[in-house]
Amino acid sequence: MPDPFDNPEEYRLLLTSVLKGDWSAERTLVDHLGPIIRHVVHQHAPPRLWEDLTQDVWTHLWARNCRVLQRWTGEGPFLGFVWVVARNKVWDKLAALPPPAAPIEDAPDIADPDDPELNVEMMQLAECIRRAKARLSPTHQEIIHLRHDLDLSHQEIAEKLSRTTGYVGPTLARAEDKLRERVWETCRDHLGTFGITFGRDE
Amino acid sequence: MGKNIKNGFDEVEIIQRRDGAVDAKFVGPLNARGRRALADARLLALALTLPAGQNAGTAGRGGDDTDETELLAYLLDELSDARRNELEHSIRGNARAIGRLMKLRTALNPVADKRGLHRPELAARNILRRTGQALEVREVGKKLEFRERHPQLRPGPKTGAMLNDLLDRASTPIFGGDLGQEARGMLARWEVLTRTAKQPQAYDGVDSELQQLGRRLADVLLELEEASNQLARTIRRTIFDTVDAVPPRDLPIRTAGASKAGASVFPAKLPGLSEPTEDGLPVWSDTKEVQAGAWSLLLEGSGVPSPILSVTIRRLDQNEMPDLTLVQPNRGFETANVSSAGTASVRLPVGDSMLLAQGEKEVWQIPLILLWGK
Repeated sequence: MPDPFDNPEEYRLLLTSVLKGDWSAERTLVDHLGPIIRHVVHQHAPPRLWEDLTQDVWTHLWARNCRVLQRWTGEGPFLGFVWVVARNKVWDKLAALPPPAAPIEDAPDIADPDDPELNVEMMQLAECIRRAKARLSPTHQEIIHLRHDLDLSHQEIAEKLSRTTGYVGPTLARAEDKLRERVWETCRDHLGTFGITFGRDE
Repeated sequence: MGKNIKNGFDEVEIIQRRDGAVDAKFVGPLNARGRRALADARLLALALTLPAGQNAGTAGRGGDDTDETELLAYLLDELSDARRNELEHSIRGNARAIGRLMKLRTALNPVADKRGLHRPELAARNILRRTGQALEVREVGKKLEFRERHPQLRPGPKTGAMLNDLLDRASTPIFGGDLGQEARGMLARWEVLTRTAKQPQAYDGVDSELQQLGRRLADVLLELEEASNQLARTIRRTIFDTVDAVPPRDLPIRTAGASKAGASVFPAKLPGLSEPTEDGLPVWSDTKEVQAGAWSLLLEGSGVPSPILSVTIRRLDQNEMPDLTLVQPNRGFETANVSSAGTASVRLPVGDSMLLAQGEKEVWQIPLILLWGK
Protein backbone atom coordinates (compact mmCIF):
# COMPACT_ATOMS: atom_id res chain seq x y z
CA MET A 1 0.00 0.00 0.00
CA PRO A 2 1.55 3.33 -0.99
CA ASP A 3 2.17 6.12 1.46
CA PRO A 4 1.50 9.76 0.50
CA PHE A 5 5.15 10.43 1.34
CA ASP A 6 6.35 7.53 -0.77
CA ASN A 7 7.84 7.62 -4.25
CA PRO A 8 5.46 8.45 -7.13
CA GLU A 9 6.13 4.99 -8.54
CA GLU A 10 4.03 3.43 -5.76
CA TYR A 11 1.00 5.42 -6.88
CA ARG A 12 1.62 4.42 -10.47
CA LEU A 13 1.44 0.76 -9.46
CA LEU A 14 -1.71 1.36 -7.43
CA LEU A 15 -3.28 3.13 -10.39
CA THR A 16 -2.31 0.22 -12.65
CA SER A 17 -4.27 -2.14 -10.42
CA VAL A 18 -7.23 0.24 -10.37
CA LEU A 19 -7.29 0.36 -14.18
CA LYS A 20 -7.54 -3.44 -14.29
CA GLY A 21 -10.62 -3.27 -12.07
CA ASP A 22 -9.02 -4.34 -8.78
CA TRP A 23 -11.63 -3.25 -6.27
CA SER A 24 -9.35 -3.36 -3.21
CA ALA A 25 -6.88 -1.08 -5.03
CA GLU A 26 -9.79 1.25 -5.78
CA ARG A 27 -10.68 1.42 -2.09
CA THR A 28 -7.09 2.19 -1.17
CA LEU A 29 -6.97 4.96 -3.73
CA VAL A 30 -10.23 6.42 -2.44
CA ASP A 31 -8.85 6.41 1.11
CA HIS A 32 -5.81 8.33 -0.09
CA LEU A 33 -7.63 10.85 -2.27
CA GLY A 34 -10.62 11.44 0.04
CA PRO A 35 -8.91 13.84 2.47
CA ILE A 36 -7.26 15.81 -0.36
CA ILE A 37 -10.53 16.20 -2.25
CA ARG A 38 -12.42 17.27 0.84
CA HIS A 39 -9.65 19.74 1.63
CA VAL A 40 -9.82 21.30 -1.83
CA VAL A 41 -13.62 21.51 -1.86
CA HIS A 42 -13.79 23.01 1.63
CA GLN A 43 -11.16 25.54 0.72
CA HIS A 44 -12.75 26.79 -2.49
CA ALA A 45 -16.51 26.42 -2.09
CA PRO A 46 -19.21 27.54 0.34
CA PRO A 47 -20.42 24.82 2.77
CA ARG A 48 -23.83 24.43 1.08
CA LEU A 49 -22.04 23.10 -2.04
CA TRP A 50 -19.49 20.82 -0.35
CA GLU A 51 -21.39 17.59 -0.72
CA ASP A 52 -22.37 18.11 -4.38
CA LEU A 53 -18.94 19.32 -5.43
CA THR A 54 -17.18 16.45 -3.68
CA GLN A 55 -19.33 13.98 -5.60
CA ASP A 56 -18.71 15.90 -8.85
CA VAL A 57 -14.97 15.64 -8.35
CA TRP A 58 -15.18 11.90 -7.67
CA THR A 59 -17.28 11.37 -10.79
CA HIS A 60 -14.80 13.39 -12.84
CA LEU A 61 -11.82 11.40 -11.54
CA TRP A 62 -13.48 8.02 -12.05
CA ALA A 63 -15.06 8.62 -15.47
CA ARG A 64 -13.92 6.44 -18.37
CA ASN A 65 -11.88 4.15 -16.16
CA CYS A 66 -10.08 7.01 -14.37
CA ARG A 67 -9.12 8.69 -17.64
CA VAL A 68 -8.09 11.89 -15.88
CA LEU A 69 -5.80 10.06 -13.47
CA GLN A 70 -4.19 8.26 -16.39
CA ARG A 71 -2.93 11.64 -17.60
CA TRP A 72 -0.59 11.92 -14.64
CA THR A 73 2.89 11.64 -16.15
CA GLY A 74 4.72 10.81 -12.94
CA GLU A 75 6.39 14.21 -12.81
CA GLY A 76 5.65 15.71 -9.44
CA PRO A 77 3.61 14.15 -6.66
CA PHE A 78 0.47 12.26 -7.61
CA LEU A 79 -1.52 13.92 -4.83
CA GLY A 80 -0.43 17.31 -6.16
CA PHE A 81 -1.79 16.36 -9.57
CA VAL A 82 -5.09 15.26 -8.03
CA TRP A 83 -5.17 18.50 -6.05
CA VAL A 84 -4.93 20.57 -9.25
CA VAL A 85 -7.53 18.47 -11.07
CA ALA A 86 -9.94 18.73 -8.14
CA ARG A 87 -9.41 22.48 -7.79
CA ASN A 88 -9.98 23.09 -11.50
CA LYS A 89 -13.14 21.01 -11.42
CA VAL A 90 -14.43 22.95 -8.42
CA TRP A 91 -13.65 26.24 -10.15
CA ASP A 92 -15.40 25.13 -13.33
CA LYS A 93 -18.48 24.10 -11.38
CA LEU A 94 -18.55 27.35 -9.42
CA ALA A 95 -18.15 29.40 -12.60
CA ALA A 96 -21.09 27.58 -14.16
CA LEU A 97 -23.43 28.39 -11.28
CA PRO A 98 -26.12 30.95 -12.09
CA PRO A 99 -25.54 34.33 -10.44
CA PRO A 100 -27.58 34.82 -7.25
CA ALA A 101 -30.93 36.42 -7.91
CA ALA A 102 -31.18 38.18 -4.53
CA PRO A 103 -30.73 41.97 -4.47
CA ILE A 104 -27.23 42.96 -3.49
CA GLU A 105 -28.30 44.86 -0.37
CA ASP A 106 -29.76 41.61 1.04
CA ALA A 107 -26.69 39.55 0.24
CA PRO A 108 -24.55 38.41 3.18
CA ASP A 109 -21.09 39.86 3.66
CA ILE A 110 -18.28 38.17 1.80
CA ALA A 111 -16.52 35.59 3.98
CA ASP A 112 -13.25 36.70 5.53
CA PRO A 113 -10.51 35.16 3.35
CA ASP A 114 -8.23 35.08 6.39
CA ASP A 115 -10.43 32.43 8.01
CA PRO A 116 -11.09 33.63 11.58
CA GLU A 117 -11.41 30.04 12.79
CA LEU A 118 -7.90 29.27 11.60
CA ASN A 119 -6.60 32.47 13.22
CA VAL A 120 -8.00 31.36 16.59
CA GLU A 121 -6.52 27.88 16.17
CA MET A 122 -3.11 29.38 15.36
CA MET A 123 -3.30 31.67 18.38
CA GLN A 124 -4.08 28.69 20.57
CA LEU A 125 -1.27 26.65 19.06
CA ALA A 126 1.25 29.45 19.62
CA GLU A 127 0.16 29.63 23.24
CA CYS A 128 0.46 25.84 23.70
CA ILE A 129 3.99 25.93 22.28
CA ARG A 130 4.97 28.88 24.48
CA ARG A 131 3.81 27.05 27.62
CA ALA A 132 5.48 23.80 26.61
CA LYS A 133 8.72 25.63 25.89
CA ALA A 134 8.66 27.16 29.36
CA ARG A 135 8.55 23.68 30.88
CA LEU A 136 11.73 22.52 29.11
CA SER A 137 15.15 22.46 30.75
CA PRO A 138 17.23 25.67 30.36
CA THR A 139 19.61 23.88 27.95
CA HIS A 140 16.77 22.78 25.71
CA GLN A 141 15.07 26.18 25.90
CA GLU A 142 18.29 27.87 24.90
CA ILE A 143 19.05 25.66 21.94
CA ILE A 144 15.48 26.01 20.63
CA HIS A 145 15.72 29.78 21.05
CA LEU A 146 19.01 29.93 19.15
CA ARG A 147 17.79 27.72 16.33
CA HIS A 148 14.21 28.88 15.82
CA ASP A 149 13.92 32.38 17.25
CA LEU A 150 17.30 33.63 16.08
CA ASP A 151 17.43 31.34 13.03
CA LEU A 152 21.06 30.34 13.61
CA SER A 153 22.67 27.41 11.79
CA HIS A 154 24.05 24.40 13.67
CA GLN A 155 27.57 25.75 13.13
CA GLU A 156 26.67 29.16 14.57
CA ILE A 157 24.92 27.57 17.54
CA ALA A 158 28.00 25.41 18.22
CA GLU A 159 30.23 28.51 18.21
CA LYS A 160 27.87 30.40 20.45
CA LEU A 161 27.76 27.55 22.99
CA SER A 162 31.46 26.71 22.61
CA ARG A 163 30.52 23.20 21.59
CA THR A 164 30.96 21.07 18.48
CA THR A 165 28.33 20.66 15.75
CA GLY A 166 28.18 17.01 16.83
CA TYR A 167 26.60 18.25 20.06
CA VAL A 168 24.03 20.54 18.43
CA GLY A 169 22.15 18.03 16.22
CA PRO A 170 21.36 15.41 18.91
CA THR A 171 20.62 18.03 21.60
CA LEU A 172 18.28 19.93 19.32
CA ALA A 173 16.55 16.69 18.29
CA ARG A 174 16.03 15.77 21.95
CA ALA A 175 14.82 19.27 22.80
CA GLU A 176 12.25 19.23 20.00
CA ASP A 177 11.15 15.74 20.93
CA LYS A 178 10.57 16.87 24.52
CA LEU A 179 8.70 19.93 23.29
CA ARG A 180 6.51 17.80 21.07
CA GLU A 181 5.77 15.49 23.99
CA ARG A 182 4.88 18.38 26.29
CA VAL A 183 2.51 19.90 23.76
CA TRP A 184 0.88 16.55 23.14
CA GLU A 185 0.51 15.75 26.84
CA THR A 186 -1.18 18.96 27.84
CA CYS A 187 -2.90 20.21 24.72
CA ARG A 188 -3.98 17.15 22.71
CA ASP A 189 -7.66 17.77 23.48
CA HIS A 190 -7.69 21.15 21.76
CA LEU A 191 -5.00 20.77 19.10
CA GLY A 192 -7.62 19.72 16.56
CA THR A 193 -6.18 19.04 13.12
CA PHE A 194 -2.74 20.25 14.20
CA GLY A 195 -2.40 17.29 16.55
CA ILE A 196 -1.02 15.17 13.73
CA THR A 197 2.26 17.10 13.85
CA PHE A 198 2.67 16.50 17.56
CA GLY A 199 1.25 13.03 18.11
CA ARG A 200 3.07 10.89 15.57
CA ASP A 201 3.67 8.07 18.08
CA GLU A 202 -0.05 7.55 18.53
CA MET B 1 26.80 9.75 21.13
CA GLY B 2 24.59 7.04 19.66
CA LYS B 3 21.84 7.64 17.19
CA ASN B 4 18.40 8.50 18.49
CA ILE B 5 16.36 5.93 16.62
CA LYS B 6 12.78 6.05 17.80
CA ASN B 7 10.34 5.52 14.95
CA GLY B 8 12.38 3.42 12.58
CA PHE B 9 14.48 6.37 11.40
CA ASP B 10 17.23 8.49 12.88
CA GLU B 11 15.63 11.56 14.44
CA VAL B 12 18.93 13.41 14.67
CA GLU B 13 19.48 12.92 10.97
CA ILE B 14 15.98 14.28 10.27
CA ILE B 15 16.78 17.46 12.22
CA GLN B 16 20.15 17.78 10.50
CA ARG B 17 18.56 17.33 7.09
CA ARG B 18 15.87 19.88 7.90
CA ASP B 19 18.42 22.46 9.04
CA GLY B 20 20.85 21.82 6.19
CA ALA B 21 23.50 20.52 8.60
CA VAL B 22 24.13 17.45 6.40
CA ASP B 23 24.18 17.09 2.66
CA ALA B 24 21.37 14.77 1.57
CA LYS B 25 23.63 13.54 -1.24
CA PHE B 26 25.91 11.88 1.32
CA VAL B 27 23.24 10.32 3.53
CA GLY B 28 21.03 8.92 0.77
CA PRO B 29 17.27 9.21 0.17
CA LEU B 30 14.71 8.88 2.94
CA ASN B 31 11.97 6.31 2.97
CA ALA B 32 8.29 7.29 3.30
CA ARG B 33 8.34 7.34 7.11
CA GLY B 34 11.45 9.45 7.11
CA ARG B 35 9.93 11.93 4.66
CA ARG B 36 6.83 12.18 6.82
CA ALA B 37 9.01 12.82 9.89
CA LEU B 38 10.92 15.46 7.93
CA ALA B 39 7.65 17.18 7.00
CA ASP B 40 6.56 17.16 10.65
CA ALA B 41 9.95 18.47 11.79
CA ARG B 42 9.67 21.33 9.30
CA LEU B 43 6.14 22.10 10.48
CA LEU B 44 7.28 22.17 14.10
CA ALA B 45 10.13 24.51 13.18
CA LEU B 46 7.69 26.84 11.47
CA ALA B 47 5.21 26.64 14.36
CA LEU B 48 8.03 27.70 16.68
CA THR B 49 8.33 30.96 14.73
CA LEU B 50 4.71 31.96 15.47
CA PRO B 51 4.56 35.23 17.40
CA ALA B 52 3.03 35.00 20.85
CA GLY B 53 -0.28 36.46 22.01
CA GLN B 54 -2.95 38.02 19.81
CA ASN B 55 -0.46 38.51 17.00
CA ALA B 56 -0.18 34.77 16.46
CA GLY B 57 -3.58 34.48 14.84
CA THR B 58 -3.37 37.45 12.57
CA ALA B 59 0.27 37.40 11.53
CA GLY B 60 0.44 37.24 7.77
CA ARG B 61 -3.13 38.39 7.12
CA GLY B 62 -3.62 38.80 3.41
CA GLY B 63 0.10 38.41 2.81
CA ASP B 64 0.19 34.76 1.82
CA ASP B 65 -0.26 33.97 -1.85
CA THR B 66 1.72 30.75 -1.96
CA ASP B 67 0.12 28.24 -4.28
CA GLU B 68 -1.21 25.19 -2.48
CA THR B 69 0.52 22.81 -4.89
CA GLU B 70 3.81 24.36 -3.87
CA LEU B 71 2.96 23.90 -0.21
CA LEU B 72 2.14 20.28 -0.99
CA ALA B 73 5.46 19.83 -2.79
CA TYR B 74 7.17 21.40 0.23
CA LEU B 75 5.61 18.85 2.58
CA LEU B 76 6.46 15.97 0.26
CA ASP B 77 10.07 17.20 0.00
CA GLU B 78 9.80 17.73 -3.74
CA LEU B 79 11.12 21.31 -3.90
CA SER B 80 14.70 22.25 -4.76
CA ASP B 81 16.87 23.39 -1.83
CA ALA B 82 16.89 26.98 -3.07
CA ARG B 83 13.11 27.18 -3.52
CA ARG B 84 12.49 25.48 -0.19
CA ASN B 85 14.71 27.96 1.67
CA GLU B 86 13.02 30.86 -0.09
CA LEU B 87 9.58 29.52 0.82
CA GLU B 88 10.54 28.89 4.43
CA HIS B 89 11.83 32.41 4.84
CA SER B 90 8.69 33.87 3.32
CA ILE B 91 6.36 31.99 5.67
CA ARG B 92 8.32 32.13 8.92
CA GLY B 93 6.02 33.66 11.51
CA ASN B 94 3.15 33.84 9.01
CA ALA B 95 0.26 32.24 10.90
CA ARG B 96 -1.98 31.97 7.88
CA ALA B 97 0.59 30.19 5.72
CA ILE B 98 1.65 27.89 8.56
CA GLY B 99 -1.99 27.11 9.30
CA ARG B 100 -2.58 26.23 5.64
CA LEU B 101 0.45 23.96 5.70
CA MET B 102 -0.76 22.18 8.81
CA LYS B 103 -4.24 21.66 7.37
CA LEU B 104 -2.67 20.30 4.21
CA ARG B 105 -0.52 17.94 6.26
CA THR B 106 -3.72 16.54 7.77
CA ALA B 107 -5.07 15.88 4.29
CA LEU B 108 -2.03 13.71 3.58
CA ASN B 109 -3.19 11.08 6.01
CA PRO B 110 -5.27 8.42 4.25
CA VAL B 111 -8.61 7.98 5.98
CA ALA B 112 -10.98 5.11 5.43
CA ASP B 113 -14.17 7.03 4.89
CA LYS B 114 -17.21 5.26 3.49
CA ARG B 115 -18.77 8.55 2.43
CA GLY B 116 -16.05 9.00 -0.15
CA LEU B 117 -16.66 5.55 -1.57
CA HIS B 118 -20.17 6.24 -2.74
CA ARG B 119 -19.33 7.84 -6.08
CA PRO B 120 -16.43 5.60 -7.10
CA GLU B 121 -18.54 2.57 -6.18
CA LEU B 122 -21.37 3.86 -8.30
CA ALA B 123 -19.04 4.68 -11.18
CA ALA B 124 -17.37 1.26 -10.95
CA ARG B 125 -20.74 -0.48 -10.83
CA ASN B 126 -22.01 1.42 -13.83
CA ILE B 127 -19.04 0.42 -15.96
CA LEU B 128 -19.15 -3.10 -17.28
CA ARG B 129 -15.78 -4.79 -17.43
CA ARG B 130 -15.53 -7.41 -20.10
CA THR B 131 -12.70 -9.59 -21.21
CA GLY B 132 -12.10 -10.11 -24.92
CA GLN B 133 -10.14 -12.67 -26.87
CA ALA B 134 -6.69 -13.23 -25.39
CA LEU B 135 -3.86 -13.08 -27.94
CA GLU B 136 -0.31 -14.28 -28.23
CA VAL B 137 2.07 -11.98 -30.08
CA ARG B 138 5.46 -12.81 -31.53
CA GLU B 139 8.06 -10.86 -33.41
CA VAL B 140 8.85 -12.18 -36.88
CA GLY B 141 11.35 -10.09 -38.82
CA LYS B 142 10.10 -6.54 -38.84
CA LYS B 143 6.53 -7.48 -38.07
CA LEU B 144 4.46 -8.68 -35.17
CA GLU B 145 2.29 -11.75 -35.61
CA PHE B 146 -0.79 -12.66 -33.60
CA ARG B 147 -2.78 -15.73 -32.75
CA GLU B 148 -5.62 -16.47 -30.41
CA ARG B 149 -4.54 -17.68 -27.05
CA HIS B 150 -6.36 -20.74 -25.83
CA PRO B 151 -7.51 -20.50 -22.21
CA GLN B 152 -5.04 -22.36 -20.05
CA LEU B 153 -5.07 -23.32 -16.43
CA ARG B 154 -2.57 -21.28 -14.43
CA PRO B 155 -0.47 -23.59 -12.25
CA GLY B 156 -0.12 -22.46 -8.65
CA PRO B 157 -0.02 -23.80 -5.10
CA LYS B 158 -3.69 -23.03 -4.48
CA THR B 159 -5.06 -23.89 -7.92
CA GLY B 160 -6.10 -27.45 -7.02
CA ALA B 161 -7.81 -26.47 -3.76
CA MET B 162 -9.62 -23.54 -5.37
CA LEU B 163 -10.89 -25.67 -8.24
CA ASN B 164 -12.01 -28.47 -5.92
CA ASP B 165 -13.95 -25.93 -3.90
CA LEU B 166 -15.48 -24.47 -7.03
CA LEU B 167 -16.42 -27.90 -8.36
CA ASP B 168 -18.03 -28.81 -5.03
CA ARG B 169 -20.33 -25.87 -5.55
CA ALA B 170 -20.76 -26.54 -9.25
CA SER B 171 -21.64 -30.19 -8.66
CA THR B 172 -24.73 -29.41 -6.63
CA PRO B 173 -27.97 -30.54 -8.24
CA ILE B 174 -28.85 -26.91 -9.09
CA PHE B 175 -26.35 -26.63 -11.89
CA GLY B 176 -23.27 -28.30 -13.23
CA GLY B 177 -24.19 -31.93 -12.68
CA ASP B 178 -22.28 -34.10 -15.15
CA LEU B 179 -20.08 -31.18 -16.14
CA GLY B 180 -18.83 -30.84 -12.58
CA GLN B 181 -18.17 -34.59 -12.30
CA GLU B 182 -16.27 -34.60 -15.57
CA ALA B 183 -14.17 -31.66 -14.46
CA ARG B 184 -13.44 -33.33 -11.14
CA GLY B 185 -12.03 -36.41 -12.89
CA MET B 186 -9.91 -34.22 -15.14
CA LEU B 187 -8.68 -32.18 -12.19
CA ALA B 188 -7.58 -35.31 -10.32
CA ARG B 189 -5.61 -36.42 -13.39
CA TRP B 190 -4.18 -32.87 -13.79
CA GLU B 191 -2.92 -32.89 -10.22
CA VAL B 192 -1.26 -36.30 -10.68
CA LEU B 193 0.40 -35.15 -13.90
CA THR B 194 1.58 -31.91 -12.26
CA ARG B 195 3.35 -33.89 -9.57
CA THR B 196 4.75 -36.35 -12.12
CA ALA B 197 6.12 -33.58 -14.31
CA LYS B 198 8.23 -32.27 -11.43
CA GLN B 199 9.97 -35.61 -10.91
CA PRO B 200 13.27 -36.28 -12.68
CA GLN B 201 12.04 -39.66 -14.01
CA ALA B 202 8.94 -38.15 -15.64
CA TYR B 203 8.07 -39.91 -18.91
CA ASP B 204 8.31 -38.18 -22.29
CA GLY B 205 5.22 -36.31 -23.29
CA VAL B 206 3.96 -35.60 -19.76
CA ASP B 207 4.27 -31.85 -20.35
CA SER B 208 2.27 -32.03 -23.54
CA GLU B 209 -0.42 -34.19 -21.89
CA LEU B 210 -0.51 -31.71 -18.99
CA GLN B 211 -1.00 -28.80 -21.35
CA GLN B 212 -3.79 -30.54 -23.26
CA LEU B 213 -5.53 -31.44 -20.04
CA GLY B 214 -5.12 -27.87 -18.79
CA ARG B 215 -6.77 -26.55 -21.94
CA ARG B 216 -9.68 -28.98 -21.68
CA LEU B 217 -10.13 -28.14 -18.03
CA ALA B 218 -10.13 -24.43 -18.83
CA ASP B 219 -12.85 -25.07 -21.45
CA VAL B 220 -14.97 -26.89 -18.89
CA LEU B 221 -14.51 -24.02 -16.43
CA LEU B 222 -15.76 -21.56 -19.04
CA GLU B 223 -18.77 -23.77 -19.70
CA LEU B 224 -19.43 -23.87 -15.96
CA GLU B 225 -19.19 -20.11 -15.82
CA GLU B 226 -21.69 -19.80 -18.64
CA ALA B 227 -24.01 -22.25 -16.85
CA SER B 228 -23.76 -20.27 -13.62
CA ASN B 229 -24.34 -16.99 -15.50
CA GLN B 230 -27.49 -18.42 -17.02
CA LEU B 231 -28.64 -19.51 -13.59
CA ALA B 232 -27.80 -16.10 -12.13
CA ARG B 233 -29.74 -14.35 -14.89
CA THR B 234 -32.75 -16.59 -14.35
CA ILE B 235 -32.73 -15.94 -10.60
CA ARG B 236 -32.29 -12.21 -11.23
CA ARG B 237 -35.21 -12.12 -13.65
CA THR B 238 -37.37 -14.01 -11.16
CA ILE B 239 -36.42 -11.56 -8.41
CA PHE B 240 -37.29 -8.62 -10.64
CA ASP B 241 -40.66 -10.19 -11.40
CA THR B 242 -41.48 -11.00 -7.81
CA VAL B 243 -39.71 -8.47 -5.55
CA ASP B 244 -40.14 -4.72 -5.45
CA ALA B 245 -37.37 -2.10 -5.32
CA VAL B 246 -34.46 -4.36 -6.19
CA PRO B 247 -31.20 -2.38 -6.44
CA PRO B 248 -29.46 -2.51 -9.85
CA ARG B 249 -26.54 -4.87 -9.97
CA ASP B 250 -24.32 -6.41 -12.56
CA LEU B 251 -21.54 -8.90 -12.67
CA PRO B 252 -18.27 -7.00 -12.38
CA ILE B 253 -16.43 -9.00 -15.00
CA ARG B 254 -17.80 -10.90 -17.91
CA THR B 255 -16.01 -13.05 -20.38
CA ALA B 256 -16.91 -12.87 -24.01
CA GLY B 257 -16.04 -16.12 -25.74
CA ALA B 258 -14.21 -15.82 -29.04
CA SER B 259 -16.83 -17.92 -30.77
CA LYS B 260 -19.47 -15.27 -30.07
CA ALA B 261 -17.54 -12.46 -31.74
CA GLY B 262 -19.45 -10.54 -34.37
CA ALA B 263 -18.68 -10.27 -38.05
CA SER B 264 -15.62 -8.35 -39.19
CA VAL B 265 -16.12 -4.69 -40.07
CA PHE B 266 -12.77 -4.46 -41.84
CA PRO B 267 -12.30 -5.28 -45.55
CA ALA B 268 -12.77 -8.94 -46.39
CA LYS B 269 -9.16 -9.48 -47.48
CA LEU B 270 -8.05 -9.11 -43.87
CA PRO B 271 -8.15 -12.32 -41.88
CA GLY B 272 -10.90 -12.57 -39.34
CA LEU B 273 -10.90 -14.99 -36.45
CA SER B 274 -8.59 -17.81 -37.38
CA GLU B 275 -9.67 -21.43 -37.45
CA PRO B 276 -7.70 -23.96 -35.42
CA THR B 277 -5.14 -25.99 -37.32
CA GLU B 278 -4.79 -29.76 -37.12
CA ASP B 279 -2.67 -29.60 -33.99
CA GLY B 280 -5.47 -27.77 -32.24
CA LEU B 281 -3.64 -24.44 -32.13
CA PRO B 282 -4.76 -21.32 -34.01
CA VAL B 283 -2.63 -20.03 -36.89
CA TRP B 284 -0.38 -16.99 -36.73
CA SER B 285 -1.40 -13.92 -38.66
CA ASP B 286 0.17 -10.48 -39.11
CA THR B 287 -3.12 -8.69 -38.47
CA LYS B 288 -5.79 -9.59 -35.99
CA GLU B 289 -9.28 -8.28 -35.51
CA VAL B 290 -10.70 -8.39 -32.01
CA GLN B 291 -14.31 -7.68 -31.17
CA ALA B 292 -14.74 -5.52 -28.10
CA GLY B 293 -18.42 -4.80 -27.64
CA ALA B 294 -19.33 -1.69 -29.59
CA TRP B 295 -15.88 -1.51 -31.13
CA SER B 296 -13.74 -3.62 -33.36
CA LEU B 297 -9.98 -3.38 -32.94
CA LEU B 298 -7.64 -4.26 -35.76
CA LEU B 299 -4.21 -5.07 -34.37
CA GLU B 300 -0.95 -5.08 -36.28
CA GLY B 301 2.53 -3.99 -35.41
CA SER B 302 6.20 -3.71 -36.09
CA GLY B 303 9.07 -5.31 -34.20
CA VAL B 304 11.85 -2.89 -35.18
CA PRO B 305 13.48 -1.21 -33.34
CA SER B 306 11.20 -2.33 -30.51
CA PRO B 307 7.75 -3.94 -30.58
CA ILE B 308 5.06 -1.35 -31.34
CA LEU B 309 1.42 -2.35 -31.40
CA SER B 310 -0.78 -0.40 -33.81
CA VAL B 311 -4.53 -0.41 -33.30
CA THR B 312 -7.22 0.74 -35.73
CA ILE B 313 -10.60 1.21 -34.11
CA ARG B 314 -13.92 0.91 -35.88
CA ARG B 315 -17.21 1.67 -34.23
CA LEU B 316 -19.88 -0.95 -34.79
CA ASP B 317 -22.64 1.55 -34.09
CA GLN B 318 -22.85 5.26 -33.37
CA ASN B 319 -20.92 4.73 -30.19
CA GLU B 320 -18.14 7.00 -28.94
CA MET B 321 -14.50 6.27 -29.67
CA PRO B 322 -12.82 4.44 -26.77
CA ASP B 323 -9.68 5.52 -24.95
CA LEU B 324 -6.87 2.99 -25.26
CA THR B 325 -4.43 2.11 -22.51
CA LEU B 326 -1.89 -0.69 -22.31
CA VAL B 327 -1.50 -2.00 -18.78
CA GLN B 328 1.46 -4.08 -17.70
CA PRO B 329 0.54 -5.78 -14.41
CA ASN B 330 2.71 -4.69 -11.46
CA ARG B 331 4.76 -2.44 -13.76
CA GLY B 332 2.66 0.47 -14.98
CA PHE B 333 0.57 1.61 -17.93
CA GLU B 334 0.83 3.67 -21.08
CA THR B 335 -2.04 5.60 -22.59
CA ALA B 336 -2.31 5.81 -26.37
CA ASN B 337 -3.40 8.87 -28.31
CA VAL B 338 -6.27 7.86 -30.56
CA SER B 339 -6.31 9.93 -33.77
CA SER B 340 -9.52 11.23 -35.30
CA ALA B 341 -9.22 8.39 -37.83
CA GLY B 342 -9.30 5.90 -34.95
CA THR B 343 -5.66 4.82 -35.06
CA ALA B 344 -3.25 4.56 -32.16
CA SER B 345 0.14 3.06 -31.36
CA VAL B 346 1.61 1.88 -28.13
CA ARG B 347 4.82 0.16 -27.07
CA LEU B 348 4.28 -3.53 -26.39
CA PRO B 349 6.31 -4.95 -23.49
CA VAL B 350 7.59 -8.51 -23.38
CA GLY B 351 5.39 -10.81 -21.32
CA ASP B 352 1.86 -10.27 -20.10
CA SER B 353 0.02 -7.03 -20.72
CA MET B 354 -3.56 -5.95 -21.21
CA LEU B 355 -5.00 -3.61 -23.80
CA LEU B 356 -7.93 -1.63 -22.38
CA ALA B 357 -10.59 -0.09 -24.60
CA GLN B 358 -12.41 2.30 -22.27
CA GLY B 359 -15.71 4.02 -22.86
CA GLU B 360 -18.33 5.68 -20.68
CA LYS B 361 -20.31 2.51 -20.09
CA GLU B 362 -17.90 -0.36 -20.56
CA VAL B 363 -14.26 -1.31 -20.44
CA TRP B 364 -12.92 -4.12 -22.59
CA GLN B 365 -9.79 -5.93 -21.52
CA ILE B 366 -7.78 -7.72 -24.21
CA PRO B 367 -5.08 -9.89 -22.60
CA LEU B 368 -1.86 -9.99 -24.63
CA ILE B 369 1.37 -11.86 -24.21
CA LEU B 370 4.45 -10.94 -26.23
CA LEU B 371 6.53 -14.08 -26.50
CA TRP B 372 10.25 -13.66 -26.23
CA GLY B 373 12.71 -15.51 -28.42
CA LYS B 374 10.18 -17.61 -30.35
